[in-house]
Amino acid sequence: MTGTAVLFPTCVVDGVRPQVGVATVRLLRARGFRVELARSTTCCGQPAWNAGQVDAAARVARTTLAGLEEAGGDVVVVPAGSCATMIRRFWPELFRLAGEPGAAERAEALGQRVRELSELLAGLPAGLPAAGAAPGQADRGPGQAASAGPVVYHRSCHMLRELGIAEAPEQVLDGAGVERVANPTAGTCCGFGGLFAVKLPEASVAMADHVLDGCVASGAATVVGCDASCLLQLEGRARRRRLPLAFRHLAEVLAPE
Amino acid sequence: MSGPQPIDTEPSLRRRTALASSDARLRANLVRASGTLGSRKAAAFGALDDPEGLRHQARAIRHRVLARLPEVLEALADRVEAAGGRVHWASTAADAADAVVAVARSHGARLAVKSKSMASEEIGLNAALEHAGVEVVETDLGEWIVQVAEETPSHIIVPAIHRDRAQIARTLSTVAGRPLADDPQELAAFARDQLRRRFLEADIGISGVNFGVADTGTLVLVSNEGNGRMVTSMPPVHVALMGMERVVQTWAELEVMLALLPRAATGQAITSYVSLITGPAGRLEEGPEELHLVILDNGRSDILGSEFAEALACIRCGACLNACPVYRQVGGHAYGWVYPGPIGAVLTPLLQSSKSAQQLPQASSLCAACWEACPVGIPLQDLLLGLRRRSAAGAGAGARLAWEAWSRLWSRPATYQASLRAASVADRAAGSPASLPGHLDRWSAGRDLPTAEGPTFRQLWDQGRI
Amino acid sequence: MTADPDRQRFLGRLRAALAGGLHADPLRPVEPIGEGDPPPVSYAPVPGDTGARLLAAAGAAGAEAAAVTQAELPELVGRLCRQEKVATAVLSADPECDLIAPVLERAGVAVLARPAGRSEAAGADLGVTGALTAIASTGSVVVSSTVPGARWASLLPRVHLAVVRPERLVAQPAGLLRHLHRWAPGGLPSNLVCITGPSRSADIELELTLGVHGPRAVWVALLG
Repeated sequence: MTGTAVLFPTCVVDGVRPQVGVATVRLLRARGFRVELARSTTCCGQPAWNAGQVDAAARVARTTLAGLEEAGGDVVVVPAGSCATMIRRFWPELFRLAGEPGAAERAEALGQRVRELSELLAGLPAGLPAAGAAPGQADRGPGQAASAGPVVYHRSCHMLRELGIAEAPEQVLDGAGVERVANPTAGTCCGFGGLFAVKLPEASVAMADHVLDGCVASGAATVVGCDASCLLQLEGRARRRRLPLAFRHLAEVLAPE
Repeated sequence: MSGPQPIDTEPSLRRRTALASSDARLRANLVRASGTLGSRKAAAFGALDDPEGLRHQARAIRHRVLARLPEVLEALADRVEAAGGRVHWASTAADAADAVVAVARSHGARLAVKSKSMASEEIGLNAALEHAGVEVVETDLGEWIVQVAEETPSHIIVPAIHRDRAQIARTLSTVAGRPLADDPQELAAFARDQLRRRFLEADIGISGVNFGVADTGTLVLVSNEGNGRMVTSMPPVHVALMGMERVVQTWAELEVMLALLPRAATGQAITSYVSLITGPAGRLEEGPEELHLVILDNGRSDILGSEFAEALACIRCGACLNACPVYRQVGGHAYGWVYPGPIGAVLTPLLQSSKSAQQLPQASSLCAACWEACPVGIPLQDLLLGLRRRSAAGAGAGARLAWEAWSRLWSRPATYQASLRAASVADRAAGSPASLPGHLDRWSAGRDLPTAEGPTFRQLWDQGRI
Repeated sequence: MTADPDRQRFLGRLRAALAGGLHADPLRPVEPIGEGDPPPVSYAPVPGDTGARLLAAAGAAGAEAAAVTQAELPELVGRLCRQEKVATAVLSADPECDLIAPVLERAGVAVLARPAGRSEAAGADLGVTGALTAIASTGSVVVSSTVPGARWASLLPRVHLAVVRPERLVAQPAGLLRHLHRWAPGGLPSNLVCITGPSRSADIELELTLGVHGPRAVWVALLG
C-alpha cells in the first residue's frame, strides 16, 4: 500500500479533459494508492499570475491552498506540469508578493508533498511515494489504453525547466513497453503559454506548427504529454491542418482499462 | 536629426508578429539559423569541464560587479585616463551622441568607420553624425548589408540573419552596379574590396566595447572579420562607446567571460580576434593618437536600482534569441527596437517608456528556454513576469477589475464548479479572461476549439463513476 | 580626474540606485563567490604537448600550422609563397623576422618594408611577425603594438605568417590573461591582439567565409 494520494484535478482537466482525470485515478489505484479528491480546491491561479495580476492570483490560490491542506494525504498528485509548477515553485513567491508571508510558508510546506504525475510514477520504489528522476517500475496494467503506432513525447516547458523533470516521463513510457520515437523538437514550446495563445495567436500557431512538423517527421502516430493545455493547443492546430496525429495524456496511455 | 532611435510604434506588437509569422521565407531562415547556432553552442560548451559550474560563477561575477558598479567604473575611468585616454560620462543618449559628434567636429572628421555597436544604435549615433556632416560607414558585414538595404539589424550577433543569400546578393548588387552571384565567399570578397578603401581614408573609428577591465583600463573587443581591428587601428581617432554595465574588475573575471561569450554567441572557443586596447598609441607605437571612451547610462541606472537589475548582467551573446521559440517564428524586427528576443523584451520596456515598448513582455510564452541558454544565468522569464506585474499595477482599472471578477468566481468552489459545468468550452471559460471579447475568435482563427461536453471530472467523481 | 561634474553626477546616480543593495531574485538565489578571483577556467583534457596542441588548434581554426627547425624554414616559406601566390611582403621588427627576410629574398619575394608601414602593408601580399606568446588550446598567436610594424603586418596583407618560439607557449588563455605582468612587465601596450586563424564571417546564412577584412590565410610556424 503506497498511501493516500490526493488528486488535484486542475481546471483544464476538470472542465475540458475529464478523461485525463479518470485515467490518472485508475493509474494511481493500479499502483496501490488510495485516491481522494480534494473537495474545496478550485484553480492554482496561474492564468492571473502569468498576466501579472497578483491579487487575483492570490485570491484563487488561497482557496486551493486551504483545500489541499484540508485534504491531507501522503502526496498531492497533479496531472498537469504547469499547475504542479505553479503550486510548488511559484506559490511561495505569489503569496509573498501579495503580502501574505504566512500563506507563503504554508505553501512551501505543502509543496513538499506535491508531485506532478510522471515525476511521481518515475520515482516510485516499492513502498512509500517519492519524487525524483530515477526510473520506476513498469506501469503496465491489463489492457492499457493503446495507441496505434509509436508515440512521440512532448516535453512541456514549465515542468521541464522549473521542476527539472526531463527524462522521467519518457522513462516511464519506455518502462511500460510503449513504442516511442525520438522527438526532433524536444524542449521547444508548443506556443500555448496561457493567454499568450490568444494575445499573439499568429505567433502561437506558428510555434505549434513547428512542434507539430517535428512530431509528424518523427513518424509517430500519437503525441503524448503531461500537460493537457499543451495537448489542447497542439491538437487544436493539428485538427485544423488535418494532421494524422492523436493526442493523449501520459495517464491515458498508461492507465488500465 | 539627432536623438535616440525611436521604437517602432506602428504597427502594434500583434500586427508585427502576425506579419512576421506569415512570412514563410523569414521563418525558414530563422529556424535554420537557430538550429545551427544552437548546435554550435552545444558543441563548444562540450569542451568545458564544468559548463554549469562556469555559468553559475559567471552569474556571480556579474552580480558582484553590478553591486559595486560605481567603484568599478571609477577604477576603469582612472586607468583609461592614466593610459592617455579620455572618458566621457554620458547620462543620456543625447549626451553620448553629442560627445561623439564633438570629437568628430574637433578633428574636422568627414568619414567615420564603425564596427558593431548596439549601444550606438540605441542612441541613434549614425543619424547624429550624419546630421553633423560626417559620413558613417558600417563595416561589420551583416551591419553593412542591412545598412545598404536601409533596414535595421534583426539579431544581436548576426544582423542579417533574416535574409538568405539570394536576398543579400540582390541588395549588394545595387552597390556593385552589376548582378553579384549569391555565393557567400564572393559576396564577402566584394565587401572586403568596398570597405578596405574606407578604412584607409577614415578620420575616426567608432567601436563598441565587449568588456572594460577596470584593473588596467583595458577595452576588450572580440571580432571575427577584422573590421574591429581596422576600426580601432587605422583612423587617427578611436571612439569606444560602452554601456556602463559592460565591465569587469579583474583579468581573472575577464577570462571567465571570454570563455563563455564566443561559445554562447557563435559556438567558437575564441573569435578570430580578441583586441585588448589600453589607451591610445604611445610614442613608439603605431595606432590611434587619441582614444575616447564614452560610458553610457541612458536609463541603465534606473534598471540597476530596480528589481530588474539582473538584466544588466547581459553580455550580448544572443544565445537567448537562438533559443527562443517566439523569436524563431517572428524574427528580430517584430520586437520593434534595437534589442530583439528575450533580452530585448526585457530591456526595451525598461529603456523606453512608450506604450508600444511596454507590450513587449507579452511576446513570450514564459517557456524559460532563454534562461536555460543564457551563459550568465539571467532568469529572463522571472524578469518578463515582473514586467507584466509592473504593467498590470500601472494600467487602468479595467483589466484589474476583470481579473478580480474572475478571481471571485474562481475562488469559491461552488461558483467555480458551476462555471465548469456549462455546456460548452466557450461557456466554461466564461468569466475567465480566456473568454474576453475576441479571445475565442483568436483561438479558432488557426485552431479547432476543444470539445467539452458531458460531465466534469468532479461530476463523474461525485456520481461514483470513477 | 575627480573634478569632472559629469562624472560626479553619473556616479552619484549609480550610488543612489544601489543604496538599498542590488536586488536579488527570490526564486533564483545567486551562489555567492565571496571576495577574490574565480579559479582559472577548466577545460576537458586534450592529449599532446603544448606544441602539438597549438598546431592542432591552429589548424582547426583554419590556419596552416607546422613545427619547423631553422633549417626547414626555407621550405615552409617557399611552400607558403607558392600556395598563396606571394610576390611582396612586409615584416615586423620582431627578431624572428631576421630569419625570414633572407629566405624571402632568395625566394624572389620583394620585401617592401621592415618594419612594415601602413601603406606598404596595405599593398603587400604577405605580412610576417613573431608572437609575444601563443595559446595552445585555442591555436592563437598574440601580437603586440610595441613591436614596430607588427600591427600592420598582421592585419593588412592577404596572408599573415607568425613565427612562434616554443618557450613562449602557454597552455590556456589564462596563461596570458592572468599573467599579463609576465608578458607586459612595463605595463600593457596600447594594443595586444590575440589572433586565431584567418578573418572570417558567418553573416550570410551562417556559412563560413574567410578573409573578410583581415588576412584570408594565416600560417603559424613553431620554430624549434
